[in-house]
Formats: sequence, C-alpha cells, structure tokens
Amino acid sequence: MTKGNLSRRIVWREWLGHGIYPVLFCLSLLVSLGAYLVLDSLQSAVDEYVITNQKAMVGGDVVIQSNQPFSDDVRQILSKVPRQDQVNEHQFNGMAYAHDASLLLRIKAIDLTYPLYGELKLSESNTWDHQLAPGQVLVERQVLTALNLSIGDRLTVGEAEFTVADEIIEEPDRPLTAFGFGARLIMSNDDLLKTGLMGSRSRIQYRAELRLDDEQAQATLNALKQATKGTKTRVTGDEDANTSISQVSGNFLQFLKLLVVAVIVLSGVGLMSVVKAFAGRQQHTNAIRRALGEPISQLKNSYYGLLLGMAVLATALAWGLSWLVIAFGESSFAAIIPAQVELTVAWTSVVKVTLIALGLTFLMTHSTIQSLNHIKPVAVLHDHQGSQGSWRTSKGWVLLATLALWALMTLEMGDAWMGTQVTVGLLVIALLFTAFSGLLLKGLKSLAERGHIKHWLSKLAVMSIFRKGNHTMLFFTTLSMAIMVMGSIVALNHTIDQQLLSTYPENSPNMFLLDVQSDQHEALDDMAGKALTYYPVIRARIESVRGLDTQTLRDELGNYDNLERVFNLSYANEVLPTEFLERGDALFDVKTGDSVPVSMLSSFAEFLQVELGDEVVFNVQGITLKAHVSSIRKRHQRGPSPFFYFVFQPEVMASAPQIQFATGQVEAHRIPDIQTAIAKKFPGITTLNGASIAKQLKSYVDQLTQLIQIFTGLSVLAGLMIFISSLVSTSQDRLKDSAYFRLMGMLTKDLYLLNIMEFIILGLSAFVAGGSLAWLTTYVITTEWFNLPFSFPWQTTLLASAALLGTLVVISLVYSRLVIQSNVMNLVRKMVG
Amino acid sequence: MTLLRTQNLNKSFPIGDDQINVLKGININIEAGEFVAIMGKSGSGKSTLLSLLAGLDQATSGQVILADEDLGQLSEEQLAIKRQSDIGFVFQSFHLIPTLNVEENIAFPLNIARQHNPEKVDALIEAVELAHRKKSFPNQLSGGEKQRTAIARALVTDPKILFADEPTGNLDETNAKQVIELLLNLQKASGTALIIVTHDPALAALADRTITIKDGQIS
Repeated sequence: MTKGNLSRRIVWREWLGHGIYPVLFCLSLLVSLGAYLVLDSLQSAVDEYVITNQKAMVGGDVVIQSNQPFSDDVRQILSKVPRQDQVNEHQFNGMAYAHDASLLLRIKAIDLTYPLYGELKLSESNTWDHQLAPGQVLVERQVLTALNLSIGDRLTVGEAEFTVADEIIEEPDRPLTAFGFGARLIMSNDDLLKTGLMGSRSRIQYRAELRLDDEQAQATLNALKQATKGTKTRVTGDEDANTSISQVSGNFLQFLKLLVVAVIVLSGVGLMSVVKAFAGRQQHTNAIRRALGEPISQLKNSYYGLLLGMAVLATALAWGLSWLVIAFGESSFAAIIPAQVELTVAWTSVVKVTLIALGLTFLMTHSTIQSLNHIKPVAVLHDHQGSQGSWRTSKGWVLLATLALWALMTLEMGDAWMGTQVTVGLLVIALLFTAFSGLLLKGLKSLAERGHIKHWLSKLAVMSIFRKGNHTMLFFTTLSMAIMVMGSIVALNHTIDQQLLSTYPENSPNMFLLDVQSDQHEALDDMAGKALTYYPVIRARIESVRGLDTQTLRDELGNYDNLERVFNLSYANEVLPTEFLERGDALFDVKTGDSVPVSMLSSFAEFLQVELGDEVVFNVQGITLKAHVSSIRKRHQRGPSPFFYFVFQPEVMASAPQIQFATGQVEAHRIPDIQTAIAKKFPGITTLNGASIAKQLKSYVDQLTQLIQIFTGLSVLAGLMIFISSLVSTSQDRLKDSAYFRLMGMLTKDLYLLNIMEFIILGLSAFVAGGSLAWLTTYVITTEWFNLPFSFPWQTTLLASAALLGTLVVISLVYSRLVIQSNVMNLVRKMVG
Repeated sequence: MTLLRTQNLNKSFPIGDDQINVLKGININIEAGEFVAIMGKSGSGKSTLLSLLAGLDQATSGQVILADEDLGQLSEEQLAIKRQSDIGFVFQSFHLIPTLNVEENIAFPLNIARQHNPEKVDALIEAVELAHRKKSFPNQLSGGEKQRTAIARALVTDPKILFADEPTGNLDETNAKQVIELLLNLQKASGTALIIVTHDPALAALADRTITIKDGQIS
C-alpha cells in the first residue's frame, strides 16, 4: 500500500485538498489556452481548406485578371490554349428583377468548361455537368428568397429574361470572404450580350483561368507576365495566387490571436501567483520533509510533477472547452470564417497548446520552485526560521521570458522580424502602462498617507491595497489596460453606430445609382420623385506631382494610398454642399499657359504634401493633362456623401469619356420599389440602397466587435484570476490584520465593509483610468480622423461599471465569509491564549 | 564506542547589529546505544544544540562529528542523506505530514531513501499499537497516537541515533507515560542512541546521563 512516490502523493493531496488552488490554476490556463486553441484551430481549418483546395480555389494553373478587356497580345497567348482547357469569365454588379422585387447581383458569366478544377455544387442536380441551355442561369439561395422565386421561375437581368435552372450551393473558386455585396448569379458567356449590360458597365472584372501541364504553365505564365508588364493586369500561377481568407479576415484572426497571446502572458502571472500562494502554505510540510532527509531535488521534482501534470490537465480541459465553442458557437465566427470551411479542433493546435502550457507553467513557476532551495529543515524546531526565499526576477529569467514571448510571437506572425517588432511593441506598451499605473497608485497612496482621506475605514481600505504580496500593480495594470482596449472599441463602435449605421445621417443620400447616362436624368428624377444629384466621373491616373513621378512619390510618402491606381476625377462649377474651401479664394483660378486649375481635397493634399500652385500631371485615358492646385477643399464631416480628390472646371473635362453616378435622399421604404422600377426601365443602372448596405455593414461590424469584446474580456477574466490568487496568497496577512481589528472591537460588518471598500477602490480606480484613456483615444480618433462628432456610450459605460462593481462586491463578500469570518475568531483566541 | 561528539561548538544569531551567542564552547560525547537527556530552562539553547547535533542547522564554529563524519563539512544534500540513513526525529509538535495516513507517514523516510519495506512498516505499526489506525490521517488521531506514529517513523530506517525534542510536551500524563515507555522499549530493542531534550526531571531520571545547559554552556 505504501508503494509509489509518497512525495508526489503529499503535494497532490495538499493541492487537491485545497480546491481553490487547482481551480484558480485550471481557470487561469483554461481561459487563455481555450481561446488560443479555438483561434489556432480556426486558422488551421482555413489553412487546411486552402491547401486541399488550392487549385480549385485559384481556378487554374495560370490565372489572368484585369479590369480592362485583355490586350491583343494577351488574347494571342490565350488563343494557343485549347478551348477545353480555359475558362473566360466576366464579373460585375447588376440588377435583377422578378415580379415587383429587385436585387443587386454579382454576376459571373462563364464558358461552360467552368470549373477547370474543383466542383460546382448545385441543389437539384447535385453536380454540375457543364450544361447550361441558352437563357438559363444558376443562382444562389439569396436570389430565390429575395425575388420570391423557385427553380424553373423566370427573372430579368438587364434586357434579357432568364430561367433559373438550379441553385448554387458552392462555387470552387469563389474568394473565401465572409463579406461582400451582391448575390451570385452564373450565366453563360453566350448569353452575356443579350443582357445589354456589357457596354454600360463601369467596373467589369475580366478573368481567364487556364489548365496547363507544369512546363506549359511556366512558359505561359512568363509569356503573360511579359505581355502585361507595366499594366494593371494581374497574372498568377496556382502557387502564388492569393487563396487565403480575405485580408480583413486574416488580419482580424491574427489580431485576435495577439490579444490571446497577451491573455496567455496574464494567465502566466496568475499561475505564478497561485503557485506562490500554494508553496507558501506548504512551508511547514516542506520543512518536515527536508528534516526527514528528503533531497531538495526530489522535493522540487514533486512540485514540477504536480504543476506540469496540472498543465496537461488544463490543456485537456481547454481542448474540451474549445470543442464546445467550435461545435456550438460556429455562427459567432461567421464574420471571419467563410461557411465552406469545416471547423474542428486541430490536433496540431492541441500539440501546440500543450507545449505552450508546459512551457508557460515551467517558466512562470520555476522561480517559486527554485525558492524551495532556501527551506531550512531547522524550521521544524524554530518557526521564525521557516521562511523560504522570496521570489525574485533574475536577469536570466527575464531573458528567458522575453525569448519565450518572442518565440510565440514569431510563431504567430510567421516572421522573426515581425515577431521582434510586435514583442518590442507589446513590452513598450506594458512598460508605459505599468509606469502610468504606478503613478496613479502612488498618488492614491500619498492621498491616504498625507491625511487627505478623512474617513477612517476608507483610509484603512486604501492602505490595505498596498499590502505586500497583493499584486496590486499587476491587477491595476491588467484591468486598466483591458478596459482601455475594450472601452476604445465600444466607444468607437458606438460613435460609428450612432453617426452612420443605426441613425443614418440626416441630409445624407441613401440611394446611389451607378452607370447613369446623361439622357436618363429626367426619368430618374421622376421615378425618385425628386431631383437627384449627378456626379460625372472621369477615370485617370496620376503621372507626377511637383515634378516627381509616382514611384518616387511612393518611396517618399509611403503607402497611405496607391498612387499608381486609377483615380476618379470630376468637374463642377461650385463647391459641393458637403464641403467648404479650406484654402484658396475660389474653387478655380485662371488657366496659366497649358496648366488648368484643379481643386484638391485637403486629406489627399496633405498626403501629397502639395500647396496652392503646385503642379499635378494626369493621364486621362492616354491624354496628358497638366494642372495646378487652385484651391483645397475640406469635408464638413465624414459620411456616406460622395467626394472627389480632384475637381476640374466643366470646360476642361465635360468632353472626356465619362460615367455618371447619382445620389438622392428618398424615404427608405420607397427604395425597393424605385430600385425595381429603375431596373425595369434602365437595366444598365445599378442601384445601391444606402440604408440596407449600412445595415449589412453594421451586422458585420457588430460580429467583429463582439469577437473583439469576447477575446478582450478574457484578459479581464485573467486579471480577476490574478486578483483572486493574490487574495489567496495574502490570506494569512489579511486574517492577522482582521484578528487585530477584531481584538480592538471592530464589528463583523465593518470587517466586511473594509474588504469591499478595498476591492471597490482598486477596481474603480483601474476602471476610471482605463476608461478615461479609452474615451480620450476614441475622441481623438473620431473627431480628428473620422471627422465625426463623438458620442459617449453612457449606457455601456454604466452597465460595465455596474458589472465590475457587482463582481468585486461578490468576490469580497465570498472571500470575507469563507476566509476571514470563519477563521478570525480562532486566531483571536490563539492570540489571547 | 563514541557515536557522536562535538568539539568547542558555538552558535550565534545576529539581532540587529549585535550577535547573540546561544551556544558557547559545547563539548559532548555520546556513545552508541546510550540514552542522554538534555535539560535546561527555556531559551537556554537546548533546542539549538539539538538542531546542530542532528545536522538540521550549521554551527557558527566548532565541529559535530557523527559516526566519524564532520557534519560541518557536508553539503545540504549530503546532510539530507545523512538524516535519511543515520538520524531519526521525534518532535514535540509531532510534525506528521497531514496528507499522508499513518502507514504512509511511517513509510515516508523509506520512500525518500528509495527503499520499500512493507514488513518493517507493518511491524512498527504493530509495535506502536496503531494497526487499527493505519489508514487514518493525522487530523483523525489523538495526541498520543500522533506521537506513536512519529516514533515509528523515526525508527523505520534503523537510525544510529534518535533525537526527541520534548516528546511528551503536548501530551497528557497518561499518554506521556505510554509514549515514553514505548520509546524506551523500542530504543533498547534497536540499540539506537537516544537524545531527549526535556523539561521533565522524571523523564531525565530514566536516562543514562543528563546534560544540563545553562546560558549556552554545559553546567
């Protein structure tokens, strides 16, 4: 019966006998590891999907894509590829209507060889057999629902009527993005001309996918790259094509993981605190063990065994938790993970998390376990000699911890240099926040010390905050930092929501018409029931600014905007009602020589560092146009109103090839009818419903915000763990203080009140500090960056502060009842006896 | 045969800027199998002497030689091994491991010495009359039972010398008598040397020899 390692049995029984230690230990790790495991599994699922479906997602061995029709050189290269090994696609937005309903579509016209790789999954016929009779289209569910159609029904796209042949379940080469405008409709390229939409579109994406063997693929790739050199046409092979989830989703997932890495660091601090408290409690038993001749290595190994075992157990629990989150909370990730990716907890992620848990546990508890070296066996005879060495951060430990953080960051970022930058950034932020917290806490302490706090209980409470071993600084820094992040996001979201989404801005247009012709103005005004505002758009590129070409400018100014892209120029006689002249006496001055006046928007003028009179040279569809800056305009505030970086005099631009778009403000409920009427009469016009887009955007932003809140909330939870573990580790001191107070006649309710006040003062100070920084940051961002009026989130702030107060009061009540009240009289009797 | 001897043993503690000399020039010889009582008033230095003799603490100067080995020359780990093999302890406050039951507490010294001897453990349990309590934990035992467990634990490794610090200090008279009887019987049977620190003249009277400490010196 006495077989086995009794040393191990001692620590395990002590550990499990005091439930608070394993619970705090597991919760600390569970929170961070569970979150990490979920995110890492999501990332693995996406990566796995991409690897498995690489070719299908790219669409071909070589893909060429452009916003302009392909040049003759490109066509010639494409003509050498057999017809059955290529798919030509045209993608653009357009309107469809059926009965009295209309819908914005993302139309994809294809050759029937589509897809070259992967599978087009359909509802009725299940698998696509490359057959689509003339006049037939495939649509996704959204089209059927919005237009109230069934398979076999008819709908109108442009000038042609089509029959819905089947419902699209999955497209192999649709980008893995969770957010996009327009429901999918697939038609044959042969039917495209019938719609009459090709000539009037402003934005058509031309794409060709090619199936080639390796040798041919490389040669064709090289030839296409050569033929498209210097143009905006993109040529990619199957390996260098971008098949990851959309940039926003990818970056967002990485951002969440960085938040979770911060939570992992915090949970490490929690672990350290718990283990320190436990080792402190074990001093007497450890001294007996040493007195009986147990070697220190054996004693320490029993602790390492316990803690590493617990780390493995916590990992197993985290695995279970993440499985539950993924199984039941899949919809929460819809904003960042496309539906076609099948989610599951990845084994590689479990292994990774186990290693992180073991590494973190070893690193954060190593110093405490090493302090067992200082246990003196003689303490069994003399209690005063029983203290084990205090925990100190040695240089070696700091170096090791920094290295571990760097390794984790590098692993996450996939790049050592990026990992270094993020690690340094995090450390700098943590140091700044620690300094800020230190300053505030010092102020609070000096208030109490200098007698500015008159109420005796409040003064006692403030002084208790600074009790040795309280981890006050750590808790304060953690909580205020988490509140700052969460507060900033809440306040920013609230402001944007108030100004742009929930309350669609008054006097702002809510209906946008694309690809309008000049002769359609009158009819459109009639349909809208009011005069719409029309904006001519001329597409052009910038050749030089202040004599510097775009390449030089990019090197000089950075990547705030891509200067080599196509810009939308416009013309007008006067400043738009949503703008005002910031510099210059009038919108335009006079033409000087061959240079025409141009009015520039202030934000872009600042970026380009141009002043009045500076020269900007444009290439307007092949024609060079020299201009000088005659005025600089600024918008009253940001919002959904149109604006142009460059505005010319009508006489300069009116005759240039142009497209027009129109905006109008109409009653929101009339928009669907107007949209349908326009689609019927002018099928070439695309109508966007501003309020409905805002709603769609709001739902997307809400989902992202919710995810950030959840993952930032974990850091608050980690902070609370640190707080609770510091309470556990200072229990003996608190109990002793309480016994003294009790001896002096303090009532039980005052003992409770003392603890409650201590926790509330600490929590509220951190809340106010973090919250103030958050609101200040958000105020600056919204007013200076977004040009929006700041809206304070009163409701959320009050709710959050109430929740925090409630939590702290509950913790203090439970703690006071379990630890103080139940033990204090025993201690008092001992002291008296 | 001399088992334990000290040569000019001194121990001092720093108190602020001063040094308090607790033991001054102690010279003792303990023979194998001998029973020695150490007496003295509170604060006389007897417990400190015990801690030095048992290798629990290091002397400020002087030597403690146990079985021809100078304890002052041993590292912490060598001292631990020495305690495992040659020394047994019985404390006034019992100092049982609260999370181990009677049987496990007794077996613990063997366990840390990587030895396994269940027959020996059972024999000692029988000897201290705790067979019916062998699965009980310390918080379920009376004071006498705790001290009997501690005695069995101290003897399980067949130590050369057994140190007992006020072994009856926390027991009532009946239990104290029973424990002392048991301790002496087992000591005699095993041939182990026994050093008891005590305030009790009746207990000291049972010893082969009594050493009295006064103001840190043998009087």
